[in-house]
Amino acid sequence: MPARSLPQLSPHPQPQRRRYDAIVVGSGIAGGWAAKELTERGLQTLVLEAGGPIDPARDYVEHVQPYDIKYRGYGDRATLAREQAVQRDCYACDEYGSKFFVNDLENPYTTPDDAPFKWIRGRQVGGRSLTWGRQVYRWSDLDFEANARDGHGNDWPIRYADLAPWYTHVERFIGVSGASEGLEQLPDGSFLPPMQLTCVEQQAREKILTAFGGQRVMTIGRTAILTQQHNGRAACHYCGTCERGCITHSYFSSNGSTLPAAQRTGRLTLRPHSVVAEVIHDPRTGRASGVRVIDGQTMQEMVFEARVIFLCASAFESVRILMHSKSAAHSNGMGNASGTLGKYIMDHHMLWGAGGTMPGFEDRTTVGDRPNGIYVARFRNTKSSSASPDFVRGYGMQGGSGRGRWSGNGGGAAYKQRLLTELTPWSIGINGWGETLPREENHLALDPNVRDKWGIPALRISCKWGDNERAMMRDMATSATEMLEAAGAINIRQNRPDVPPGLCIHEMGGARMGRTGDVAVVDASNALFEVPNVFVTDGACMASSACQNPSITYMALTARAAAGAVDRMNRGEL
Amino acid sequence: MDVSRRTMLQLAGVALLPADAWTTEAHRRVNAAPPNFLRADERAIIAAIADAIIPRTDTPGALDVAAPAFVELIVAEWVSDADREAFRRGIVELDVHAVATHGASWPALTLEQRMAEIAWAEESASTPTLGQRAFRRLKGWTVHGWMSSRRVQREVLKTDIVPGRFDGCAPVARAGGED
Repeated sequence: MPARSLPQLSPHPQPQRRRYDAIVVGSGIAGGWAAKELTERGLQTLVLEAGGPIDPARDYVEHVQPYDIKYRGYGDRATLAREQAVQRDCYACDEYGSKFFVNDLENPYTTPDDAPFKWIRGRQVGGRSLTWGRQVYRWSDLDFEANARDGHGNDWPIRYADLAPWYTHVERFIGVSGASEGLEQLPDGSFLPPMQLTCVEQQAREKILTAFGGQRVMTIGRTAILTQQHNGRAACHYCGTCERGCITHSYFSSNGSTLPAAQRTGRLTLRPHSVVAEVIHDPRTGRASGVRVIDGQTMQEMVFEARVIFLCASAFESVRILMHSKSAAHSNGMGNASGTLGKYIMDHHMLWGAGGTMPGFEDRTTVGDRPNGIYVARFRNTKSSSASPDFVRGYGMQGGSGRGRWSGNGGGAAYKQRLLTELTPWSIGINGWGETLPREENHLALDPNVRDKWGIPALRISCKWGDNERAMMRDMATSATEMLEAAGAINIRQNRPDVPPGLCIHEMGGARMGRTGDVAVVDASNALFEVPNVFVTDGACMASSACQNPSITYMALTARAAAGAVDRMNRGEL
Repeated sequence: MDVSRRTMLQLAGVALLPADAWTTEAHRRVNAAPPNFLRADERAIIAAIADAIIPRTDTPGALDVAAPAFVELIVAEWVSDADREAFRRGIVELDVHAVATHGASWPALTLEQRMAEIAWAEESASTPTLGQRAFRRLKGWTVHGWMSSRRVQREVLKTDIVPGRFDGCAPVARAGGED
């Protein structure tokens, strides 16, 4: 069945209207979902995107080859060092895809000298949904109950049952390939067929299951990549470089999925180059009346008004907008009566683990480039495992396996022949992605001295790993080694890298969700306690981090919040 | 690209543009004049070594795909100032070693002498000389410049840009060739 072509997203450089039913700030993973759900429920919706438009035919570069670019993939090192000194630390900010990351000179932020934080950002239509890692894992009540159980952070006002139907709603729309495993701590979802494990991953899965009594389950990554045609989008063609774009829209992005759905309603207005400076507070109503925007290109200021405002600008950008939204009633930033705005920020700590060589299967290799890896579900401090004496919470592990081209000493015809034909043995690696505790001292503030290109105060980010994270990292390296030994690997070496916070690009918190307005910024419906027509549905609302990749939880929270907002509007409450 | 894949992509609604059409800007930059950075003697030594590492056989060699020009670009624009200086001194040292050992400059060495010089350059040493370090960098850039070239990718390796499937346990003989 031929796929129907996706509608072109046509930006409106100068929208005629100044007043909408809803404004969505940001067009990334959360903003795209807000746009889809709000427009499909009948609201005239303006999406404001700080960056420029994206044209897949022009901008996606996943099929560009090394010989098509100047430095053959080594990167334009001098330009990256000058203009993207932070962004270049992300693997995807390379010679192909650096245009999907911000210019650090235009978008400064500061940190304490002893606490580096890598803030990786994408300002363009689609935001970081173009470059995200596409791994999607549901949370369970092990995660939603964690703060209440061990006392770190504040209790989530919602539980898995509140979000489960929204996870399903999201999965059915975006398409998630994966294997059901029946694990309480990692609930199964509505899955498309899983991608294949490699021979050595299949062997490792079986041997690890046996060696650890079924407690450690290695499964194929659950990923928002289509393994069959789905909702008019084609199956993956396994070129392997999703982070450079996808002309067939086979992985989920706002550009390929939610924004076209919003566009089809006829109620979407998308305005790129729209830098939101603040949310405007109306003292007569106690509500927000709109947003003040600075045109990213002309610097012209303008105001757009709406009945509801969704902040989906990315966790720290949404917090920054609230902090900069000062008024007589909110002199310390909008929605900050609790004093928690900007506090309890988190990122996942990652990459402690191990790698090794897998003997055997010399006559086998892979064909196609699988843009997905393997996942070991959390096995520490779960209901079925004994509590770790060294840390609370837990971690999942991500990895992969494969063979590379041979390289070695020598030269001449024989050496050349080996380069062309010989493969290395199989290698396999797994590394941890760990939960970070919400701690008050990890926080955001507006820097009094630094402003961005548009005159908006820059963020000062103060964030460090704590003792719990460091204890967990050590356990990741130990347990990865145990598992690789059980799997039959040899020449095992541990990975113990010094990864600063931010680089996992799972920044969360700063406008946390809670039960009451004296301890949290947003309520169980993602609305500000103090300004009920402002919703924060991106990573800023997270009250804890769990260890799962967070994007699908933002999507589910956003869809749920949008439905709730429209219900309240229809009841006359907003 | 075979018929089934072409059909698959047409079904997916993908315009079958040549890869070049997506990269006009990149191509303009790639096709800009190569840097004229190194001295003629450095360039001759680098070309001789690149040719020794990856000679022309029944498939293109390093010189056939202009790997030395890629090396020169990297030396001119990509490496740090300190690394560039060390590399250039190392290249001269490699030639000095060739003259001292064989009585001839690198470009004039016989095949056997070239292999002997490569073996010396790759000897494991706790403190490699500037020349040995320069050789290792030159070899890495040469192999990358050759392997990533259009001719090697398209004509020799026949790299499938759009495989259309993933097989996690395929026989080695079928990998990397025509499917």
